[in-house]
Amino acid sequence: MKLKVTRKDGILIITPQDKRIDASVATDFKSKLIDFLENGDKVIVINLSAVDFIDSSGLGALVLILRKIGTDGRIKLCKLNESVRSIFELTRLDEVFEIHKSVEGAIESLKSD
Amino acid sequence: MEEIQLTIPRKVSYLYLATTLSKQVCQQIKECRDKKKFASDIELCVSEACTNAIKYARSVDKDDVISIYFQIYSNKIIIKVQDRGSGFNLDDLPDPDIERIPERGYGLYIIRSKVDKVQYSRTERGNFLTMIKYFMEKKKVMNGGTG
Repeated sequence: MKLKVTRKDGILIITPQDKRIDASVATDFKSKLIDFLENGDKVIVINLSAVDFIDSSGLGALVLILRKIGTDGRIKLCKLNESVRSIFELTRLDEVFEIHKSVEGAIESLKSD
Repeated sequence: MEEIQLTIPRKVSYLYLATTLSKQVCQQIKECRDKKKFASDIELCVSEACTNAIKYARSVDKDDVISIYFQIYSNKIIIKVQDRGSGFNLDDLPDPDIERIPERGYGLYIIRSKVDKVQYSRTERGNFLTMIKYFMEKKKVMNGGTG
Protein backbone atom coordinates (compact mmCIF):
# COMPACT_ATOMS: atom_id res chain seq x y z
CA MET A 1 0.00 0.00 0.00
CA LYS A 2 1.37 3.40 -0.98
CA LEU A 3 1.48 6.10 1.69
CA LYS A 4 2.41 9.74 1.32
CA VAL A 5 4.13 10.85 4.51
CA THR A 6 4.77 14.45 5.55
CA ARG A 7 5.44 16.26 8.82
CA LYS A 8 4.21 19.55 10.17
CA ASP A 9 5.14 20.95 13.58
CA GLY A 10 6.27 17.50 14.70
CA ILE A 11 3.00 15.87 13.67
CA LEU A 12 3.14 12.94 11.25
CA ILE A 13 0.62 13.22 8.43
CA ILE A 14 -0.06 9.95 6.63
CA THR A 15 -2.06 10.01 3.40
CA PRO A 16 -2.91 6.58 1.93
CA GLN A 17 -2.67 6.79 -1.85
CA ASP A 18 -4.79 3.72 -2.60
CA LYS A 19 -8.46 4.32 -3.37
CA ARG A 20 -9.48 1.18 -1.51
CA ILE A 21 -8.59 -0.11 1.95
CA ASP A 22 -9.81 -3.70 2.05
CA ALA A 23 -8.34 -7.08 2.99
CA SER A 24 -5.97 -7.00 0.01
CA VAL A 25 -4.01 -4.07 1.52
CA ALA A 26 -5.03 -3.99 5.19
CA THR A 27 -2.17 -6.18 6.45
CA ASP A 28 0.42 -4.04 4.68
CA PHE A 29 -1.31 -0.85 5.90
CA LYS A 30 -1.23 -2.12 9.51
CA SER A 31 2.40 -3.14 9.22
CA LYS A 32 3.48 0.27 7.91
CA LEU A 33 1.52 2.13 10.60
CA ILE A 34 3.06 -0.06 13.31
CA ASP A 35 6.52 0.77 11.92
CA PHE A 36 5.82 4.48 12.47
CA LEU A 37 4.75 3.82 16.06
CA GLU A 38 7.83 1.73 16.76
CA ASN A 39 9.99 4.53 15.37
CA GLY A 40 8.54 6.88 17.96
CA ASP A 41 5.83 8.67 15.99
CA LYS A 42 2.83 8.82 18.28
CA VAL A 43 1.06 12.00 17.20
CA ILE A 44 -0.51 11.17 13.88
CA VAL A 45 -3.03 12.53 11.39
CA ILE A 46 -4.38 10.07 8.83
CA ASN A 47 -5.69 11.90 5.78
CA LEU A 48 -8.21 9.65 4.01
CA SER A 49 -8.97 12.06 1.16
CA ALA A 50 -7.82 9.63 -1.55
CA VAL A 51 -9.80 6.70 -0.16
CA ASP A 52 -13.23 6.08 -1.68
CA PHE A 53 -13.83 2.60 -0.26
CA ILE A 54 -13.10 1.09 3.15
CA ASP A 55 -14.42 -2.15 4.60
CA SER A 56 -14.08 -3.90 7.96
CA SER A 57 -10.49 -4.93 7.20
CA GLY A 58 -9.52 -1.27 6.78
CA LEU A 59 -11.45 -0.27 9.90
CA GLY A 60 -9.69 -3.06 11.80
CA ALA A 61 -6.29 -1.70 10.79
CA LEU A 62 -7.16 1.78 12.08
CA VAL A 63 -8.61 0.40 15.34
CA LEU A 64 -5.46 -1.65 15.90
CA ILE A 65 -3.31 1.47 15.59
CA LEU A 66 -5.59 3.44 17.88
CA ARG A 67 -5.32 0.71 20.51
CA LYS A 68 -1.55 0.44 20.10
CA ILE A 69 -1.09 4.18 20.56
CA GLY A 70 -3.23 4.01 23.68
CA THR A 71 -2.67 6.87 26.06
CA ASP A 72 0.94 7.40 24.90
CA GLY A 73 -0.07 9.32 21.79
CA ARG A 74 -2.89 10.68 19.72
CA ILE A 75 -4.35 9.89 16.33
CA LYS A 76 -6.88 11.88 14.34
CA LEU A 77 -8.56 11.22 11.00
CA CYS A 78 -9.49 13.78 8.39
CA LYS A 79 -11.00 14.38 4.94
CA LEU A 80 -13.30 11.36 4.84
CA ASN A 81 -15.56 11.27 1.81
CA GLU A 82 -19.29 10.66 2.29
CA SER A 83 -19.13 6.92 1.60
CA VAL A 84 -16.19 6.30 3.94
CA ARG A 85 -17.72 8.44 6.66
CA SER A 86 -20.98 6.48 6.45
CA ILE A 87 -19.10 3.26 7.32
CA PHE A 88 -17.61 4.93 10.40
CA GLU A 89 -21.10 6.07 11.40
CA LEU A 90 -22.63 2.63 10.78
CA THR A 91 -20.06 0.94 13.02
CA ARG A 92 -20.11 3.86 15.50
CA LEU A 93 -16.37 4.24 15.06
CA ASP A 94 -17.05 7.93 14.42
CA GLU A 95 -17.55 8.05 18.22
CA VAL A 96 -14.18 6.39 18.79
CA PHE A 97 -12.03 8.35 16.34
CA GLU A 98 -11.86 12.11 16.24
CA ILE A 99 -12.66 13.06 12.65
CA HIS A 100 -11.89 16.44 11.09
CA LYS A 101 -12.87 18.02 7.80
CA SER A 102 -9.36 19.22 6.98
CA VAL A 103 -5.73 18.36 7.67
CA GLU A 104 -5.28 21.82 9.17
CA GLY A 105 -8.24 21.27 11.51
CA ALA A 106 -6.78 17.98 12.71
CA ILE A 107 -3.37 19.57 13.29
CA GLU A 108 -4.83 22.52 15.19
CA SER A 109 -6.84 20.13 17.32
CA LEU A 110 -3.73 18.11 18.17
CA LYS A 111 -1.85 21.28 19.10
CA SER A 112 -4.59 22.43 21.43
CA ASP A 113 -5.13 19.03 23.15
CA MET B 1 -34.51 -14.49 -12.88
CA GLU B 2 -31.11 -13.72 -14.37
CA GLU B 3 -27.93 -15.09 -12.85
CA ILE B 4 -24.32 -14.00 -13.15
CA GLN B 5 -21.60 -16.16 -11.64
CA LEU B 6 -17.96 -15.43 -10.85
CA THR B 7 -15.43 -17.94 -9.54
CA ILE B 8 -12.12 -16.62 -8.17
CA PRO B 9 -9.12 -18.13 -6.42
CA ARG B 10 -9.45 -17.90 -2.61
CA LYS B 11 -7.01 -14.98 -2.43
CA VAL B 12 -7.55 -11.39 -1.28
CA SER B 13 -5.88 -10.11 -4.45
CA TYR B 14 -9.03 -11.12 -6.35
CA LEU B 15 -11.40 -9.18 -4.09
CA TYR B 16 -11.37 -6.22 -6.45
CA LEU B 17 -12.68 -8.40 -9.28
CA ALA B 18 -15.66 -9.54 -7.19
CA THR B 19 -16.54 -6.06 -5.91
CA THR B 20 -16.16 -4.47 -9.34
CA LEU B 21 -18.50 -7.04 -10.87
CA SER B 22 -21.00 -6.46 -8.05
CA LYS B 23 -21.14 -2.75 -8.90
CA GLN B 24 -21.55 -3.46 -12.60
CA VAL B 25 -24.37 -5.93 -11.93
CA CYS B 26 -26.24 -3.37 -9.82
CA GLN B 27 -25.83 -0.69 -12.50
CA GLN B 28 -27.71 -2.99 -14.91
CA ILE B 29 -30.84 -3.12 -12.74
CA LYS B 30 -33.20 -0.68 -14.47
CA GLU B 31 -35.87 -0.84 -11.77
CA CYS B 32 -33.50 0.29 -9.02
CA ARG B 33 -34.11 3.96 -8.20
CA ASP B 34 -30.94 4.87 -6.31
CA LYS B 35 -28.42 2.78 -8.19
CA LYS B 36 -25.39 4.54 -6.75
CA LYS B 37 -26.39 3.87 -3.12
CA PHE B 38 -27.64 0.36 -3.92
CA ALA B 39 -24.43 -0.54 -5.78
CA SER B 40 -22.30 0.94 -3.00
CA ASP B 41 -24.09 -1.16 -0.35
CA ILE B 42 -23.80 -4.33 -2.42
CA GLU B 43 -20.12 -3.67 -3.16
CA LEU B 44 -19.42 -3.39 0.56
CA CYS B 45 -21.36 -6.56 1.39
CA VAL B 46 -19.65 -8.55 -1.36
CA SER B 47 -16.27 -7.37 -0.09
CA GLU B 48 -17.13 -8.44 3.46
CA ALA B 49 -18.63 -11.79 2.45
CA CYS B 50 -15.74 -12.69 0.14
CA THR B 51 -13.18 -11.63 2.76
CA ASN B 52 -14.88 -13.92 5.29
CA ALA B 53 -14.84 -16.77 2.78
CA ILE B 54 -11.19 -16.17 1.88
CA LYS B 55 -9.80 -15.63 5.36
CA TYR B 56 -11.97 -17.67 7.67
CA ALA B 57 -13.23 -20.66 5.68
CA ARG B 58 -10.26 -22.68 6.99
CA SER B 59 -9.97 -24.81 3.88
CA VAL B 60 -6.98 -27.15 3.71
CA ASP B 61 -6.83 -26.85 -0.07
CA LYS B 62 -4.58 -23.94 -1.03
CA ASP B 63 -5.84 -24.06 -4.61
CA ASP B 64 -9.36 -23.53 -3.39
CA VAL B 65 -11.81 -21.14 -5.05
CA ILE B 66 -14.85 -19.17 -4.00
CA SER B 67 -17.87 -18.52 -6.19
CA ILE B 68 -20.20 -15.55 -6.14
CA TYR B 69 -23.69 -15.83 -7.63
CA PHE B 70 -25.75 -12.73 -8.40
CA GLN B 71 -29.42 -13.61 -8.93
CA ILE B 72 -31.56 -10.73 -10.13
CA TYR B 73 -35.32 -10.95 -9.61
CA SER B 74 -37.99 -8.38 -10.42
CA ASN B 75 -37.72 -6.70 -7.01
CA LYS B 76 -34.58 -8.00 -5.32
CA ILE B 77 -31.06 -9.25 -5.74
CA ILE B 78 -29.85 -12.43 -4.08
CA ILE B 79 -26.10 -12.83 -3.71
CA LYS B 80 -24.62 -16.14 -2.68
CA VAL B 81 -20.97 -16.52 -1.74
CA GLN B 82 -19.86 -20.13 -1.82
CA ASP B 83 -16.71 -21.55 -0.26
CA ARG B 84 -15.48 -25.09 0.23
CA GLY B 85 -13.95 -24.64 3.68
CA SER B 86 -15.03 -25.98 7.03
CA GLY B 87 -17.49 -23.12 7.49
CA PHE B 88 -18.68 -21.35 10.59
CA ASN B 89 -21.82 -20.85 12.62
CA LEU B 90 -23.52 -17.51 11.94
CA ASP B 91 -24.92 -17.49 15.47
CA ASP B 92 -21.39 -17.72 16.91
CA LEU B 93 -20.57 -14.31 15.44
CA PRO B 94 -22.41 -11.65 17.44
CA ASP B 95 -22.35 -7.97 16.57
CA PRO B 96 -19.23 -6.19 17.84
CA ASP B 97 -19.36 -4.63 21.30
CA ILE B 98 -18.43 -1.10 20.24
CA GLU B 99 -17.77 -0.02 23.82
CA ARG B 100 -14.74 -2.35 23.85
CA ILE B 101 -13.47 -1.02 20.48
CA PRO B 102 -12.75 -4.43 18.94
CA GLU B 103 -10.43 -4.82 15.96
CA ARG B 104 -12.59 -7.53 14.41
CA GLY B 105 -16.21 -8.49 14.03
CA TYR B 106 -17.48 -5.58 11.93
CA GLY B 107 -17.87 -7.55 8.68
CA LEU B 108 -21.03 -9.51 9.41
CA TYR B 109 -22.45 -6.55 11.33
CA ILE B 110 -22.04 -4.41 8.20
CA ILE B 111 -23.68 -7.09 6.03
CA ARG B 112 -26.59 -7.46 8.45
CA SER B 113 -27.05 -3.69 8.43
CA LYS B 114 -26.93 -3.25 4.67
CA VAL B 115 -29.13 -6.10 3.37
CA ASP B 116 -32.66 -7.22 4.17
CA LYS B 117 -31.84 -10.84 4.99
CA VAL B 118 -28.73 -12.93 5.66
CA GLN B 119 -28.64 -16.72 5.69
CA TYR B 120 -25.84 -19.25 6.03
CA SER B 121 -26.01 -22.89 5.05
CA ARG B 122 -23.62 -25.81 4.83
CA THR B 123 -24.27 -28.26 2.00
CA GLU B 124 -22.40 -31.02 0.18
CA ARG B 125 -21.47 -28.41 -2.45
CA GLY B 126 -19.94 -26.13 0.17
CA ASN B 127 -20.95 -23.29 2.46
CA PHE B 128 -23.25 -20.54 1.21
CA LEU B 129 -23.58 -17.08 2.69
CA THR B 130 -26.77 -15.71 1.14
CA MET B 131 -27.65 -12.01 1.17
CA ILE B 132 -30.99 -10.67 -0.03
CA LYS B 133 -31.62 -7.01 -0.73
CA TYR B 134 -34.77 -5.50 -2.22
CA PHE B 135 -34.65 -2.62 -4.66
CA MET B 136 -38.41 -2.39 -5.00
CA GLU B 137 -41.33 -3.15 -2.71
CA LYS B 138 -43.28 -6.35 -3.48
CA LYS B 139 -46.64 -4.59 -3.95
CA LYS B 140 -45.21 -2.35 -6.64
CA VAL B 141 -44.11 -5.39 -8.64
CA MET B 142 -47.56 -6.99 -8.26
CA ASN B 143 -49.17 -3.81 -9.60
CA GLY B 144 -46.96 -4.11 -12.63
CA GLY B 145 -45.38 -0.73 -12.12
CA THR B 146 -41.77 0.18 -11.93
CA GLY B 147 -42.45 2.69 -9.20
